[in-house]
Amino acid sequence: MTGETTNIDAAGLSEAIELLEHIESLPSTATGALSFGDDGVILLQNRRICWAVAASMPKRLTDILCQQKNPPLPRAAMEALFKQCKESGLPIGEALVSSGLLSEGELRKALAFHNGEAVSRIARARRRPTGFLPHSKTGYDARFVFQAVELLAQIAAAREPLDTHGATATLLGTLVAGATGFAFLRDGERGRPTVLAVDQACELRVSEALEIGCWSSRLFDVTSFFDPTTSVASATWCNNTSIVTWRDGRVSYAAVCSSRPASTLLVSQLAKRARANDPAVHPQVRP
Amino acid sequence: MIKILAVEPGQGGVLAQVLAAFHLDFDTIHTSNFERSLEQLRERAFEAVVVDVTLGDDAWKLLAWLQKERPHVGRFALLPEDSAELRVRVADLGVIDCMVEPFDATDVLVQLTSGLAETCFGFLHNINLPAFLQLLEIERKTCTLRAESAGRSGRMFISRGEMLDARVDGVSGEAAAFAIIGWLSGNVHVEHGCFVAERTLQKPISHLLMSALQYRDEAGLNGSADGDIDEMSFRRLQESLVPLKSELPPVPRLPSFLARLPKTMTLFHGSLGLALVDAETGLTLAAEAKPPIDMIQWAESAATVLRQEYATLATSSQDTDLMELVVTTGSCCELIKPLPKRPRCFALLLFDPDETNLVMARIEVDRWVNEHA
Repeated sequence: MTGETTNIDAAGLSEAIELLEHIESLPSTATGALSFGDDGVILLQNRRICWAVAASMPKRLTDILCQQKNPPLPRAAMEALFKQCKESGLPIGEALVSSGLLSEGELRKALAFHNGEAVSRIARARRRPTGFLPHSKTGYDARFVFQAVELLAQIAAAREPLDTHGATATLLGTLVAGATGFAFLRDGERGRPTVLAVDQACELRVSEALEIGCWSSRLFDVTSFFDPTTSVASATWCNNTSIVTWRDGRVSYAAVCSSRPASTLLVSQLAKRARANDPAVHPQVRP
Repeated sequence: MIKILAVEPGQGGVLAQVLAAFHLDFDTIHTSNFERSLEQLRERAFEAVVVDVTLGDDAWKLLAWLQKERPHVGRFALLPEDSAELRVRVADLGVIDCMVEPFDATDVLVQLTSGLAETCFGFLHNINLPAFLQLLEIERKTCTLRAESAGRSGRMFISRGEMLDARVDGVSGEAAAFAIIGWLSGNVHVEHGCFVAERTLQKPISHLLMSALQYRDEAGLNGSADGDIDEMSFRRLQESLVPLKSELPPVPRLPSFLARLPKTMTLFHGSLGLALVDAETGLTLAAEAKPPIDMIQWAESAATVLRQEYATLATSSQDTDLMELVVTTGSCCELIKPLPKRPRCFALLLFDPDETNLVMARIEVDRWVNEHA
């Protein structure tokens, strides 16, 4: 495989992928605590990750929440709110958002950071859980629970913050209604992509996202052999599902479209953008 | 330039804005009531009128006026919801297709362009009816034929090149189709749309023609040269016909199919090259391109990309066939479309996205494939 390689700690990422794929192999109704002995615990709600904590974590969620703002939130205000919540039984997330201290997006970002870090540390310490304690309560706010692939992106993002910031903005700014997707970097050593950013509505499993990333890389390898200016490609199958893939610098993107109009609109927009960025827009003989 | 009158409430009109956003060859004029629409229709020649039925009486009056005064103009309706009752009502007024809120820009575009492409209208004097029916099948046209011959009149309902129903002298279905085809020639009024409550015919037009002409020949031998029909003779004919499928020639193999390909291919506005390619070898079977495009090179590379996709599909969890690939380069867009009926081949279209778009490219490729491949 050709293309750029990344500086990501590939071994650490592989362990996280293995753990997240294990979570995705559980039944879709899996709700409860996935225990990793003394190394940590991951709480699941309908197979989605609501909370994770690792024994070796250096930062508490309070620290992360405080640092979400610039200037940072006063620690005293945060702790007072925690105390109120403890007394009233109000979930801390709701309290933070309703008090105006954090927006919904900021809280989600902080939780993703915290959970991603925890999953990464647990995976490095122990790849398989020691037990699963199911429970029937599903009290976590659906806005603040995560797909495995989202946390995978979060883990990689912690290592590639510059690429991730731009990739997230590009991804969300490009997707159209009926399309969902992710951004990724090619990983030359491991032969599989590194998911950098994921649209919140993306329902792909980790293995599916990796398969799509590989497909995109192979497609660009072949098309670029004939024409290095290839920037957008899409494939549509007879069930009307389409995958549109494009690249911008060293970051690649893939969008899964549930309808032909969605993929058509996306391809048209991307083609226009590609042409606008390329001054040599007149047809030419293929090299 | 396709001239469209969009009759919608409010200023500017949603549809007019949608069409403008695509920068296509549409000249859209917006009106919001019956009187202004009539003024425009009397001043200009429009190819299509799109009427929002939420305008109420103005919408219904306008559709009725169009049916009577401008029957050749393609008519489309914008519906606030997908209601069977509304669809029947607008269909009775000759509407070709309905667009339902919320509007999807691309869907609207496809419906308008394909609706206009499929429809036809006119009066044909003393035409060879079987030949004309074959043409409608090949072109996948949608229309209703009113055929007249020797003081008799019959109707045939054709949707996308398939005959759904035929009616004559109180008889419908195959008997009616056979009777009308048996007239062989006469005057034909081609009307917009195809509105039938129930499909009575299942066979392709070519099969119906073969059966009808066979029947006519047999009737001629028996002294009834006008090919007219009665219930008993129709039943006898049905019994005597061997299953049509086995009589038909097999699907042509590649050599004879190639022989039917046109020597030259017409490029539509915005296209840079069109080719039919053998996927296994990358050989170009037929091609046309604007200089300096070398379609042979493009075809070879497209075949390589497609072969890789097939290889990927073979090893992946996908259990569905590839319908199309689109590749955008710095110089143009490339539409690669495997032919479902000819798995060895694919159509390759190169187009300039500044001049046309993917929707139009798909329509043109589909049209070309239906005609020739």
